[in-house]
Amino acid sequence: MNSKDSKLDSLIANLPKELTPENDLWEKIDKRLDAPVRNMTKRASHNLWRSAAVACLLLITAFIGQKVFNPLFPQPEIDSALINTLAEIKTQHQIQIAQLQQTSELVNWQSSPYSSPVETGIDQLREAAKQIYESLKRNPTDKQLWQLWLWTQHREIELLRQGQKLPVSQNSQGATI
Amino acid sequence: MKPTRLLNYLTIPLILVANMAIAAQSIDKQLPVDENLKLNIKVLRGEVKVSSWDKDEISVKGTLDELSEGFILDKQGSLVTLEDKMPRHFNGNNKSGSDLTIMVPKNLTLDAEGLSSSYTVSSLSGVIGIDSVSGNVDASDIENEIFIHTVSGNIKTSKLTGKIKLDTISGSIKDKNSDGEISYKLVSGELTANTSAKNVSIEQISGDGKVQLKKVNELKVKTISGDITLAMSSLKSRANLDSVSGDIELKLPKNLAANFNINGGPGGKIRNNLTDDEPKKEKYSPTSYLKFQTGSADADIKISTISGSIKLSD
Repeated sequence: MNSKDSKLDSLIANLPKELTPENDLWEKIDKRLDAPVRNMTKRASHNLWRSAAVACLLLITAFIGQKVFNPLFPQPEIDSALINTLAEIKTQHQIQIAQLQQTSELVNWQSSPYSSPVETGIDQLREAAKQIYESLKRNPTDKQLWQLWLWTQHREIELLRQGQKLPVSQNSQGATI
Repeated sequence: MKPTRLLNYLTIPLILVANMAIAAQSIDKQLPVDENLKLNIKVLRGEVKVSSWDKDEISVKGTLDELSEGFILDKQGSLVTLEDKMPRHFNGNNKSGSDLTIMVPKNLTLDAEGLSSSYTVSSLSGVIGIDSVSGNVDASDIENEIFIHTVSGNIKTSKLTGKIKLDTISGSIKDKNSDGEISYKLVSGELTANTSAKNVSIEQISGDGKVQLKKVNELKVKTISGDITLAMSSLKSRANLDSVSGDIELKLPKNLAANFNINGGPGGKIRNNLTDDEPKKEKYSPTSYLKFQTGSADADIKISTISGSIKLSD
């Protein structure tokens, strides 16, 4: 027992007072800590682009899939019969206007000193009719919009007819009834 | 001085005096008429006043147009034609026109026509039509069926009752205390009205309107770019208001029971100061809308615009 104890004591006495690493690692750690950040960023940024590309690819795939199988932005069901009717009415109206304008050329009511507000009104109605027509093409079941559109046509014809009744000045001085 | 030259000098004053005599030509005529009088008046320039009296005859007093080619007062059965005949071509201003006061029986069918002549018409009953180009029309206290049309002349009316149509291109319309069924049509003119009419129709293009309504049965409004402000105390049946780019403001009592269906269109705006209901956007479209109901709704209010603004307030 005593021999064992003494052996242990001698072994302990022979141990070094502190443990030192085989190689000095601090230098490496220090270098690592002071390593330029850009190297890290470059790698992270590279990863970010990769993630973004994957995300985009996924989104595009999802979007195409949705469009094909279950549209995300469903197109309104356009009633082709109503669209055709819309186009037909527009054509008929244009024919009617052309006929009225042929008469207008004979009457030459635009030379009347009172024609200006009538002409302005007709121009404004035509411009408004265009806007309503475009809205109707997108939403051909809007009854109220239909009525407004038909009204602009009706009013345009009404104003053309009123214009034709205006007193026309055949010379710069007199009025003719 | 040569005799011909002397003659010319003497002739010129004579022509001037003759013209002055024509300008001052006065008229004072009476004509007994039948019960179902239909009167056509054609006075192109000047001022014409038409009013009723309790006699079965027509009276015409005043002066004729400076360029008058004669006065016509012709009776064919119940049809009477009254005309200050003018040359086919003429110029000059309205001050040189006729100045006539015409008294007629209260019940009649009247068809009055003018160019720059202004008409003042009052206290009549029947089918009354006045059509002037640039002249103003002032009509009051008329009942039954009234149609007034001008191009640039202003229309001013009060106490019209029955079926009324007021129509102008660039003139203004000022109507007060009308009742019955009324239609206002304007292009660029301004509308100001205070009416008790039950059925109201307003059509304007670029002119603005301000209309005070009372107990309305049916209201129809169409405007292109003109703004309109309407106020009403009650609505029985329906109100349809449409605009392209014009603004619509509708003032209603808070307790009005109605179904509201407001379409703000792709470029319009909706402001609701009447209730707490908020306008909504359609899911995949720029169109805004507002639907709500107040009370046990009997009436329908539909308002739509493409790019104007719609405002509801009390």
